[in-house]
Amino acid sequence: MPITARLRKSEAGPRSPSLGEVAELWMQSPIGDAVPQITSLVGHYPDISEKPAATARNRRTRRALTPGKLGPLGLLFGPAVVLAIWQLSSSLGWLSPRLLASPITALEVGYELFRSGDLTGHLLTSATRAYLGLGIGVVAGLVLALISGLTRTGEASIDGLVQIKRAIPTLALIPLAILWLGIGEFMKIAIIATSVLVPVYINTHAALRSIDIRYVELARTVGLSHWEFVRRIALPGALPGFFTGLRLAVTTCWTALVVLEQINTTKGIGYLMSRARDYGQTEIIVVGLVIYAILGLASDGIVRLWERRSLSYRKVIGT
Amino acid sequence: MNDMTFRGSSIHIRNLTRKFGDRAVLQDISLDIPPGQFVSLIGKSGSGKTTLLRALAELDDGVDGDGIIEAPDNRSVLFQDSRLLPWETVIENITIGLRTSDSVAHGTRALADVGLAGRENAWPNMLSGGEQQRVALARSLVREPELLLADEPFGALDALTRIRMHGLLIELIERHRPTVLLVTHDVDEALVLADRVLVMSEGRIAVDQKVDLPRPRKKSDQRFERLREELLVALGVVETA
Repeated sequence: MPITARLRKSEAGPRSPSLGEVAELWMQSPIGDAVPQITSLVGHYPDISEKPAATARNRRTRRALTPGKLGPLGLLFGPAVVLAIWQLSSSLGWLSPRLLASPITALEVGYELFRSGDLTGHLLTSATRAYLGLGIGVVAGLVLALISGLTRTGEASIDGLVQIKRAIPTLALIPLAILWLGIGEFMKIAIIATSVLVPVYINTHAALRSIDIRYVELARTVGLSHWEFVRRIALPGALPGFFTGLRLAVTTCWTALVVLEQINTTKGIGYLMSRARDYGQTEIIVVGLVIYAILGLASDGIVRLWERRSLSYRKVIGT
Repeated sequence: MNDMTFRGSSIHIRNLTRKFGDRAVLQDISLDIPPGQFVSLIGKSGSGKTTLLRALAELDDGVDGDGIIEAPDNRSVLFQDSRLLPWETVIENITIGLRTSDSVAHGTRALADVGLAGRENAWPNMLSGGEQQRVALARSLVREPELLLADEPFGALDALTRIRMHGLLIELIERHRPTVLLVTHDVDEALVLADRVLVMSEGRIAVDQKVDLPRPRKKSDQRFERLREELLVALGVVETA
């Protein structure tokens, strides 16, 4: 017990422990078993509550090991600095509009496109493709991960195939996909779904495989059936992995979309951007980039919110 | 203590051996435990006490060995860690695997029995180590086991909490009367709790000691001290009695 040890040491010397030392001892010890010892300390030494300054200083140094909490706007600091430098360079003429339009020009053009209703149409088309593909891919990835993670036959038949798929870049599949599925919407959604499937599968499968053996023992001693084991131990245990996969998936679906929207289409953000490239309209390219960024961040935010709710039982640094 | 019916069942072990590779961890163990007896199993680490407990819990498939175990199917295990599922609430953890319709009512009562009434919907992570272990105790007892197998259940707790847990365990055991096998490395704990202490050494039961001291037991009692001395000698901690 550190308290008694430290106490004896200071009793042997001529001086009493400083306020800082008392406060430190108090904070080191779990409240439950420290209480009786603290009351005996109070008898010998000045009451630390009279000097809030000492306690406060100590508390700050204790906390320094993990970063403090960032406010909701804190994450915007970096982007804001970049934006300011960018606008300044454009206004001072260092940055030619032929290479990159200024943020304000892009904002104006974006607003115009939005008011004319042009943008909404492109956005809806893109979002439909991306989220249909995402939905199908996530469900497929999850189901495959469960079959593969919970049965031996499943692992033998599925895991190798997904690993091979993972090694092949999605874009390299496009030529074959066009031959098999045509150049329409079906091909685009199928490509997005297969690229989304991989991160969901990999992360969910890994989480299922690493479930603590101790919980398996518990399941046996309380007599869980196979299905109860899956529902109460395997699935909740794999949930953190699934969310990691999902967060990768929501950005993957938009990445795949950009390339796909350059093939046989007259609608979508990707189409808007590739046409702008042909005409050298950097402001529209910037608008497209900003839209991708907003959609990516928003999707990620929604998944994180959902994750935090589902995993609220955990106490984790940084949440 | 309103219900004094003996729920415990007897245990019979004959010629039990267990091997990890070439090393014989249990060597030809035979043991009879009458219904409702509280047996403490002590021994140095590696003496085979946990292996014996895991054999009784049927948690040792894949381990080489032989012998006959006659033990009730209705048993529960108390592990050293509370082994609560972090993603389920306290009451869900207690009633896990129960299939009766009134399991929640039983679980609530068991939770009150261990002094945690009202914490049904807490997450295990919100509880202290001692509280988590009390929930684990409730999870074991709500099954009304005929045999309770406990593997150093208080080993990770601080001294004060451990004393409180001893009192709680004795009280609940007196009410439910299961047969108990408690593995511990703490001689005092064994003597405070058990009707009988077995000392294991190199895979055998070296000492089989009845403890018929009146309860509640005091460590300052002369007979208690004498028994402790004997057991410490048997464990090879103290040279002579």
